[in-house]
Amino acid sequence: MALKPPLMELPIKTADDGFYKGFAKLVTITGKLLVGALILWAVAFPEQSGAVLSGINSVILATFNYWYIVVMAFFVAVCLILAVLPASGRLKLGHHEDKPEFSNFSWFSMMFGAGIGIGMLTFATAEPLYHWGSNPSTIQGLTAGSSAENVREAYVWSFTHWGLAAWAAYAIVGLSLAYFSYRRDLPLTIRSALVPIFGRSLSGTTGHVVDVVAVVATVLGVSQTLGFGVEQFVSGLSRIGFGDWLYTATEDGGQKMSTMAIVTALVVIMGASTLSALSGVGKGIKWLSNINMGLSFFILAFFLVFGSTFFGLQALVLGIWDYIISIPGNILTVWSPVPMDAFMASVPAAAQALSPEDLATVYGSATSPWGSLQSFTEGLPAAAASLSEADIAATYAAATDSRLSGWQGAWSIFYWAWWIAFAPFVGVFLARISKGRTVREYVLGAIVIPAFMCFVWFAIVGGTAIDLELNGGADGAIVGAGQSDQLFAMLAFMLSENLAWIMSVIVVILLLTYLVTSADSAVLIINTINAAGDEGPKARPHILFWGAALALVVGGLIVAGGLSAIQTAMVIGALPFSVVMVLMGISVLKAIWRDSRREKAGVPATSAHLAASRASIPTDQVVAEP
Amino acid sequence: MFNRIMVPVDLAHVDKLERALRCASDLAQHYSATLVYVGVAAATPGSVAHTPQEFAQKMADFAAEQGRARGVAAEGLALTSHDPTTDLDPTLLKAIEETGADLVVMASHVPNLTDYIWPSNGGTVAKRASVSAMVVR
Repeated sequence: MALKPPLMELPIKTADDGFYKGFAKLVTITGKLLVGALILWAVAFPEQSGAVLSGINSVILATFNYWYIVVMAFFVAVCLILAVLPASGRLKLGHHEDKPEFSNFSWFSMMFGAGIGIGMLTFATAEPLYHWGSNPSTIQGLTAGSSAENVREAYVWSFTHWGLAAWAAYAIVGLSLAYFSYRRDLPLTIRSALVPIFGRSLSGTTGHVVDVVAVVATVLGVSQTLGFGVEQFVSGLSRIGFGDWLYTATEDGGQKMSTMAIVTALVVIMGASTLSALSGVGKGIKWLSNINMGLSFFILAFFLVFGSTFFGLQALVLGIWDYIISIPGNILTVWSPVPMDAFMASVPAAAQALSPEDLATVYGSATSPWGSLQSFTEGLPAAAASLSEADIAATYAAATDSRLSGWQGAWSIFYWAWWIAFAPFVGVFLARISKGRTVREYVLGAIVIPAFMCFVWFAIVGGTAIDLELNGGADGAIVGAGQSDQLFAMLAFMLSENLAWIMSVIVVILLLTYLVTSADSAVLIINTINAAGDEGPKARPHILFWGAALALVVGGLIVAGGLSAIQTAMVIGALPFSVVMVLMGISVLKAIWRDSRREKAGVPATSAHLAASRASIPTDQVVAEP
Repeated sequence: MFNRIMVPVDLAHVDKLERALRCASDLAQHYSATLVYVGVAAATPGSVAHTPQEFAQKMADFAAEQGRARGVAAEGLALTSHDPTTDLDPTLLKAIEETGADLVVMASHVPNLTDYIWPSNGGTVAKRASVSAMVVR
């Protein structure tokens, strides 16, 4: 088959006038209806929706565990292969003569900026602490939880979740968008990335579906971020002394955020982000991003100077080493639960003699990833208490795979889904700033730099928390605080009351500016996708709609079923987009392979070549193929 | 009195610019000045043009067509900016020096409450430019 130039025109019909002027009507309206329906369900039937979403959470995580693990490994492989191979690594995201749009310094700074997102404030403290307490090694009994020997394990898993895989997912979206947008002049919108697979049909329904899927994933991914953010924001307000109305007591003696607190936090955050989004792409975001960068580096410097610097740097170096070594073994590992009958068949004879009810209880507590052998022994039913110590240990060990699977569902799978839901959003940004870079430069810049930035935060901030618990006499003051409160608890432990108050205020301000920049850029990206890749349309009513919709999704779902309701909605919402991303990976591989053959055969592969060759041959001989 | 008149235009919204365009060409005829149409776009594919080269071609075509239709000497200048929404004002101010213009004629909306928070581009250019500026509302 003779090679032909690739498809270089992808018209997407947008409305010429009326309310939707400049927008692809079908995409915009479908997206709004889907998100609207979710809000309506959560707000009108909070109990039912909360129960349904929380109920199917574990089912979803257990069903799609293989899928999520395998696709993430695929994204990492595609990025690394393309960067390493000489033929693909030197290809330019742009035309032959294109120079990078941004200088190396500003490009790296923007990559850094993308690397320290909102998650840093919550998870830089919380995640190393959690993994230090329990991780697959402690579940398998290889290391003891909350001990000095477990620190390295804690960092392997923290870095796994915030490292190469996360950034490879963003990079693959950005790479495919930039490749087709800058080499073939296709619009900078999600569907352009699938041109080598679907061709012209992307102008129609197929393309609309792809864009709607991206919009829904973005809304839910950002909702997850906002959900964590709101929780931490309320926690911070309470630390600063905004009053008791922020929390209400629950029936079991605990406390949870009051509805009033959620509403207040959302009104502040979404009000500010909508105003910032209304001001146009740059004005609001640029100003807020500068505050973000300044305050972030201030806080990092604070922990470097006053925190456990040596412990943190050691965790950083050892953690990166351990992490890199662990990749080949971890990247494709999927743990599956042990079914009840397999469990019963493998426990010692003494335990098999228990009554079916007691065995079911034993199975239930042995499979919980959050327990330990000690808590398992103490919680055994009366009839099982007479078992020998060895029998109890063997019974507990029979369910190890179930515990590992439960752990993996709550951590790795959840993160993979979250990164995928976030990928359209970050991917468009990465593509936007990377015109004129080579594929190799892009992959290294988009994966290594932001991942390293995350590692630094986790090692310095989280390391300080672990060190205080391990050697500094914190005695559970930090671990014992809720996930959203741990950073504040650490500050309170380290500093005198007044200084802690000042630092907490700074953290709350930083949190607010992060949330606002995340939410307003999400709104602008959603509008860009809806407008067929055009950053232009000044669409105030649509910005208001998406701002309000985000607030309602977050608020509605938190009130209905807490953060786990958002999590389930997000894991479901990310699923279709994970399929789109796999297609993106295939499509960019196909395009690079075919473009290299085109170049050898002297057939135009980019729009610049095509324009040059059109000047010499009659246009009717140049026929595009997908 | 004026030799070169700079007219910032947004090719995506030419329909809204008619008053400013006519005012500029009337002034150009009166003073026998040259019109310089200036457009600003990002380097990414957009609704107006796919590439900066294509955008430059479109600006040149627009200037030629306007010059013919209104009977004045006209040039087009296409500028590229990372983020036109944020960088429009500084880009236009730089364009005034680049084109050697001694008068700027540009369209703007009637100021309203939101202008206190987000000033209009026309207003900002008039405030900052060292040459005369006429904002057509």
